[in-house]
Amino acid sequence: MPELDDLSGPFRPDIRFEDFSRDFLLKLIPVWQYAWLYMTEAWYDAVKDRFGSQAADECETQTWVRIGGRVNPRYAKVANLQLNTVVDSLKALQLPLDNPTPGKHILVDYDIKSPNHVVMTVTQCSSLKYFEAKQPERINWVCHVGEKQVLEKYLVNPKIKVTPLKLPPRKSKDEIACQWELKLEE
Amino acid sequence: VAELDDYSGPFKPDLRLEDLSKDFLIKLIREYQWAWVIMADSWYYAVKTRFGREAANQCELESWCQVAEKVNPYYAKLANIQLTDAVSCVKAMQLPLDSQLAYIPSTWELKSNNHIILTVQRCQALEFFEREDPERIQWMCHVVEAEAGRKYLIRPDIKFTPLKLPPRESKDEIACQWEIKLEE
Repeated sequence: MPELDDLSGPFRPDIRFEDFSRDFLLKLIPVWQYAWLYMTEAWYDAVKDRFGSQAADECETQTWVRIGGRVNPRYAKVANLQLNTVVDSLKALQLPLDNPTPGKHILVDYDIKSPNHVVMTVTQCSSLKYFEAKQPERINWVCHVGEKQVLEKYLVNPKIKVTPLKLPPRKSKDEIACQWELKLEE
Repeated sequence: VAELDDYSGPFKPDLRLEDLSKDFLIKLIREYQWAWVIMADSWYYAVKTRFGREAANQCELESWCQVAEKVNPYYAKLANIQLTDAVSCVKAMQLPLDSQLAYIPSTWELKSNNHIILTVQRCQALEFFEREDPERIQWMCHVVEAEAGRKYLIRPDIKFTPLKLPPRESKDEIACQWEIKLEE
């Protein structure tokens, strides 16, 4: 049976992802990425409306840290990653729905000084742009408190030391969003 | 460049999903489905721990409905689905991460293009609630699922009526059953 490029044909009750073409799956994933970010924002707003920003910030960080701990090791497993070095863990960073490349939510440059010492520069971050435009008061918590904890989980290797080198707020949109040193002591 | 079946090779700073094989994408998608559930669950328990179950329930309902309303019409657009009848709306229900596609095995009885019986045979969320948090069943299955399910159908004139809902007496029973109907 030919692979489906859309669902304009008859209803198929037993349809599976395998029935879709690769191109169609690649179109679906950005919508799931959008849903992923929209879901956390919907929760954030629901909590903030009832209990204030501090409560929403704390719940959000707890949520992302839990996701990073429970879900992200599974990406490493399905991708057959051996997590021996910092560079190995960069690969694990590229696979979640909120990853640094495919959906262009976050664009990243990597300065690989050695397999266990990397400087990661986030050149574009759609979350930061949103906060700068709509909710600048969120920048401090998300970028200074939450992001480090989440990044540590997303790297999947707890031995990697994560150190911020530059964080928002920034003076101009031409500046980078943030910069991190990732180091595994050998 | 050959499509990647896994990512055991060298680090590619410019990796895109387009570089991955279909098989690898499908493996990742199954993990995305898991991640989707864990996100909602993590928010729920973060709120419940601080502010109690009622607060968590209300935030959960609001979030699921907002997401469905905002995001789900994109699935129909992307998949070129004309939402002319109930069965076409059911196709749109097959595309979200928490769809019946693999994650929630279901059967569909098509009585007509505008009258369908959806039977959820197995529901991992229900099994988790039965095991870990049976108090969540009432709210999730009777309130959230009914409200969010309507939004997932995209067309507001389609009726989404529960025929059988948990709790159930045995794990051999179905998880739930719904009638989907558009008055002609």
